[in-house]
Amino acid sequence: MSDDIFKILYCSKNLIEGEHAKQDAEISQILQSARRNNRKQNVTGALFFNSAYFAQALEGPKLAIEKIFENIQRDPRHGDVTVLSSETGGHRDFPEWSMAHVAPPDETISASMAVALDSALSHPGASADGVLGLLRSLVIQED
Amino acid sequence: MTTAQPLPLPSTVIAPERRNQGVLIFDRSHRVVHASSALPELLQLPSEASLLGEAVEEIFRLAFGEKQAFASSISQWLDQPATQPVGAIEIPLVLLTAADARIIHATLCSISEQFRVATFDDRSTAVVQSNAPALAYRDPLTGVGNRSLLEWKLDESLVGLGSGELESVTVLFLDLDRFKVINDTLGHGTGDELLRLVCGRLQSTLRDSDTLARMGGDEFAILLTAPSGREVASALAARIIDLIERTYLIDGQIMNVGASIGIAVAPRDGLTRDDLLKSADLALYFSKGAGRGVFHFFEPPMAEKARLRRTLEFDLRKALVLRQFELHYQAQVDTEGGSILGLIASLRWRHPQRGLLLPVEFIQLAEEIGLAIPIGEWVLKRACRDATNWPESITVAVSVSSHQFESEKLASFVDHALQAVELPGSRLEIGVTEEILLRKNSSVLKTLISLKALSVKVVMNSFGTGVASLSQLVNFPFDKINIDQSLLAATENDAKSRAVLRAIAVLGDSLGIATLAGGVETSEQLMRVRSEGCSTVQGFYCTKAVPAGELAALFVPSIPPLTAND
Repeated sequence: MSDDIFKILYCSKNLIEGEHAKQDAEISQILQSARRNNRKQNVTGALFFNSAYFAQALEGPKLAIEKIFENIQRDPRHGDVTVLSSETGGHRDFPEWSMAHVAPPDETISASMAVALDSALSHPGASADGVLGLLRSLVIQED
Repeated sequence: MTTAQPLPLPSTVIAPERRNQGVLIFDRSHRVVHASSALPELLQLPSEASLLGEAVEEIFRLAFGEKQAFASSISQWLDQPATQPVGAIEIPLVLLTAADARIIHATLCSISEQFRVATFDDRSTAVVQSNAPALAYRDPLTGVGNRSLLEWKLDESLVGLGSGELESVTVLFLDLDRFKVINDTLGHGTGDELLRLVCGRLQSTLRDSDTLARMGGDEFAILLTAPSGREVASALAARIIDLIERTYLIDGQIMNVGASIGIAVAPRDGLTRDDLLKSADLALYFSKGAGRGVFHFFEPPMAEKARLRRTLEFDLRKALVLRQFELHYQAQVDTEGGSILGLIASLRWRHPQRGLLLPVEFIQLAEEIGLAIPIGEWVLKRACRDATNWPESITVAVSVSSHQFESEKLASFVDHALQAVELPGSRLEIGVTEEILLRKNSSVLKTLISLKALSVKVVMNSFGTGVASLSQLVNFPFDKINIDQSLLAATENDAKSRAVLRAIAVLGDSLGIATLAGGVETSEQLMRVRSEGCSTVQGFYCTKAVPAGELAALFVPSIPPLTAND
């Protein structure tokens, strides 16, 4: 199952304009289509967002990830995409989720995520582990 | 098909069907009454039967896609025979199939008051069969249009502009930044895939009426014909630059390229295809010169600048042969004793019309047009020859460009230049720029070591401009550090700069490396340089750069300002 799993973690600036309701609608639409497509292609991962940032982990067959990643790049709803890490092999970090939605349970976690992403955006690679760790811990909490 | 009817069609119309030709007959209300058996395959349509009774516009939409089917030219085309007498001349139209972008030539004529017949020829097959692939309209690598398609579409649009059908025609020229590095380092397979992804991203920004073409290499063009003012083109260009700069993931590898864009709008920037493309190209050239990753609209001064550059380029190519280059020399003076230790060669171009030009006015152009190496070699040879006329204690310093270093023949060339005039290597100083060291290239180090083996002194030029670090001074045994004159200028009223100057001087002293302060222009600066411990000084204050022929006067024992007891 873990044959040639390719993993990529990126963060980006949220460019969705408008109110929370509109943002939520966009995000749920993103999640829905991601889950639908990912399940078919054996891709798993997690998506975090707040009003400023996205952070997404994707893992699965390399070709599928490359295709999904390219579509993500074309999406006008975000910008300043910074790849924090990418690697081949290893095990899935989010084996249970076609695309887990990481909703921070409280403001402090959202803020600490924002800080982690802020520093990741200014020093790519520096805190990839931190972001991934946060994503994982939040997914577990939500579960 | 709801109404059954015997069709009063002349049999001659249906008869001459060929495999590559499809025939479609429709009535005045644009309903299809006959479709030839070859048509569905030719146009990649559903089965023949379902075409009957269908609106001809729908057939066009299925075959050629929304953007072609709903172009105003199609409806005009379809209606045209109505205004023509029966059996009048064929009206041609060229279309690309939506499914696989084959070129279809369509003609239309009236066969009776009631019916019109459209014939479709697959010319792409004809093109291939006639072994003339240059005529095909598609870029085989990326699947987008090619130069021919763009030119043809542009011609068509400019006709539309002339007839008032179109308001404006906009061309964007786009060139990838840093693509060559990816192609060279990650392989052509990756480069090709990157070009395909770039095309996908470009296409995703375009409307149906826009045309994308790969003009060659990593250069693309986009033609906008729908009403599009400067704002639309600006927004599109900004969006494209953003999209292209985003990360690519190919075969598990992350990579980035940039995009520079030039925009030309007809009628303002040209009314012919060539003029408009030239304007877009000039604007692109300007964007690339302005730091890349930006877009610019064409402005008339760009054409004037390009003309001046071409003239200068033409003159520069002749300058070596016409012996228009000269070397001027500036003294390196010992800050303690005031004696001349060496002379620094500086290139001048005696332009027949523009007078004496400094390197800053032409050296970048020389590099761009590949003259950096021949000019650099001339400088080396001439400097060595000139030095043979000087007292033996006086060295000659020559700066070499990174281009000369890249050629990897520098050391052997220097060897030849020295031997040709029997100048000892110890009398030659070769100055390198900081950025050469940053390449961490083993061949750079090899060249530097080969130079030292010839007893040539190696000098780091323009040190202190922020690129090189002090640690690099330790990695290679430099004979001298030439402290950039900007640092000296900054010491005027900045204690920190003075501390840096002192640190470099002290470090040089302890490593056994001489330090040279460039650009000394006032006695105050000279005092400061002396007090901070720099061993040599060069600048206007001591001597200005003079032609080789006027050097004799310099070789008098001392120079007054330096021996004065101040």
